[in-house]
Amino acid sequence: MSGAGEIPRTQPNVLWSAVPDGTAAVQGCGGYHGRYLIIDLTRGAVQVCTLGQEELRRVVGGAGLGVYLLLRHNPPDVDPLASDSCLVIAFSPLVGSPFTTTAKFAIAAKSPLTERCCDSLCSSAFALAGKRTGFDALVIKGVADQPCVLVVSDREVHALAAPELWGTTVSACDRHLAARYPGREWVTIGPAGERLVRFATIQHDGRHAGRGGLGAVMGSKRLKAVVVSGNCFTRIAEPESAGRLARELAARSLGPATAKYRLLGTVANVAFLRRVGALPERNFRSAGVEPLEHFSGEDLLGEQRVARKSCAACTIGCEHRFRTAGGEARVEYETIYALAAACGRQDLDEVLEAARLCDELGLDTISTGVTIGFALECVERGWLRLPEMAGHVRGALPGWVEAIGLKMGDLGELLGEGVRRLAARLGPEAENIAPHVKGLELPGYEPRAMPMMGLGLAVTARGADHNRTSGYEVDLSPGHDRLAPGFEQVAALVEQENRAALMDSLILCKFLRRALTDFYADCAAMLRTVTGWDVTSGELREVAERVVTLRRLFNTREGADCSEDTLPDRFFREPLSGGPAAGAVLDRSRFYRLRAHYYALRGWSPDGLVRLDTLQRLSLLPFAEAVGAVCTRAQ
Amino acid sequence: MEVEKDCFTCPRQAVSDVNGNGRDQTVIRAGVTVEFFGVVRLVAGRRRLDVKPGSLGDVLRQVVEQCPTLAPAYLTSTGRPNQCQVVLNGLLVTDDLSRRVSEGESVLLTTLDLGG
Repeated sequence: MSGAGEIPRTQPNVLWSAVPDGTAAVQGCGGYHGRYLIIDLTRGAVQVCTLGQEELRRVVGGAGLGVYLLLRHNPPDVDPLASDSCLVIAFSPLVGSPFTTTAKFAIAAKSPLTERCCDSLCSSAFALAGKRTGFDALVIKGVADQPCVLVVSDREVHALAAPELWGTTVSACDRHLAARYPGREWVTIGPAGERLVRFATIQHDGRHAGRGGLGAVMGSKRLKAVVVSGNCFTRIAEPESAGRLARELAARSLGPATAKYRLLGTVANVAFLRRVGALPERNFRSAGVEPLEHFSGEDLLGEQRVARKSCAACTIGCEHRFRTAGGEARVEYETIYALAAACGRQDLDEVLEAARLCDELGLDTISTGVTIGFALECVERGWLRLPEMAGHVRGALPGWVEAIGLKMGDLGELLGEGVRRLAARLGPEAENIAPHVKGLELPGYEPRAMPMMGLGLAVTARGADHNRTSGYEVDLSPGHDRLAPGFEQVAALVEQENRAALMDSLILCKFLRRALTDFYADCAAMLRTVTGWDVTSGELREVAERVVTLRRLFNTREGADCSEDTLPDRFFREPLSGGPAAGAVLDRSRFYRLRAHYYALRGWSPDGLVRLDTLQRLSLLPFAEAVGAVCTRAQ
Repeated sequence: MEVEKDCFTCPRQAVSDVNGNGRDQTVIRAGVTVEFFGVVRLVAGRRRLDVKPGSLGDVLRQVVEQCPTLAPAYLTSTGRPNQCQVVLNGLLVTDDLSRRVSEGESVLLTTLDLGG
């Protein structure tokens, strides 16, 4: 690392300051700066690295670029919370373009929860300001010698001591930074990230890069916030065509294809998924039994909703905020699933307040609620002694959330480690019912009622991940027996996963997906007008496959094998209780046959390793060899 | 005849109703019950509708006749689904308009934009 341009401390609270050198940006295409910045918090130094058009074109940006840089810079087998562990913030070519829903950024790191590849998305103005720093990505490594704020602009990078911010909630930190940095944007962690809760989030403007514990990675670096600003704009290659396409897309984004998100938000899923037996209850002990209708978007709309918000550069406006005891909270379907259904809680005020606390403390609502739900069952069965969780204590949920976020007492210490680690302490019986894949807590889709979603959750790199698989779309497609899917559904699952990978790399909001009339052609047209590349639908299909493969390579390098691509034992042994799918249980042999077909469609070996010919086909072999991610057993 | 029971223990015979608390109660009714969810519920302006048995196409035609605001965005004027998901008895996702829907069965309607 060069440490080019380090300058002496000029202010008492400046820990270090550096000026990135003037490495030339990429020429000849729009949408990119063609360089990224490595920031070493230990040494107080920065290094500018170039990104060629060829490599950018292979991974596009966002999640694809984030995972690519993570493979390049994260040492194999590194402890996710160690100094050498990297946190990558990646922007994308469509950020700053006129296309709706593109103000998004990806954050990638090795997850402290799963110890596998984790890329998580977040939205809004940070993406726009971050890209204007003149870099397509920031790679942050090292550990500051005291709590700090990292300030990155297009002219200078510096770290400021921030002991006064350490311990503040997300909103308190936001208020402080707003006063100190008017006109700039930032991401922050809450107390949960500082205390290394393994499912802590990174927050920007009320939105969270939620899954996998990236907030703990930031906290391990004693990094409270990253502030960005700048005036480096990227060129749009075909501005007139881009403007025309953007207007068409914006018009479509206001139609029925996105009405659910605009009018109700994702809480609209509650009543429907409950009715089709897919909303899991009480740690996956039942579905469709608990009285949860009053949590539905349709019912919440008139009584509790106080505001609707949009991310920057978005025409949809999916964020619905609801009144709580302590203020107001952003509530999604997954919030209700995790904090109400999974925990068997029915008190609306208690659940909404718990949701607010998750956001304030910087906790992933899914992992928080699912871990509590799992602990409640373990307490009930006598496997776990936590007196404060015994019996049905009305109104206790917010207190449990606070204990986790602040790692207070046995409850906070134990549950803050997540389901997998808690189960490992309690023994094999608890492990059989622990709702996680690869350590990531399950989202709100009952695998016995939605087997293709179950397969998707099992095989995705991040763990039980509804945002990377969208298998529910396959389960709820006509023309097949939902409870007994076949190979045709596996192909559809692969396609859903590919589309998600592409949207996460461009980056486009997935809520826009039904407004796209010809998915790959529309994506190619957008990328073509921004970059000027002659990109085709076929090329983007390959990009999508490549991004999925890069995540798999990362996991394989970290020691993952096919034994991780499965679901909790409960789903193969206990028939589902309640709902229209009552009695359903996953057939283990069918599940593994479908998984083998998934591997084959992906070009992976029968034991789930990426084959050499697949690496060659995706032009990944030299890179995979260079980063030590080729597994010879794959042949 | 109105008999309270858990709608999910007997999905092919029972339909749910909702009291003022939003809690499910169940009544058995003659005919086919159409249940509306999400935006389709908002646009239809109701939670459910009882219609006569027949083919799925017949059922959806009755729906659009009684809830004309669903056309054209969610059902065509002849009852063909458009940006609309159809689930029979909470389990079978179908677009087969010739399928027979019998007395006591339920038809769920919601938008296609699933997930979150």
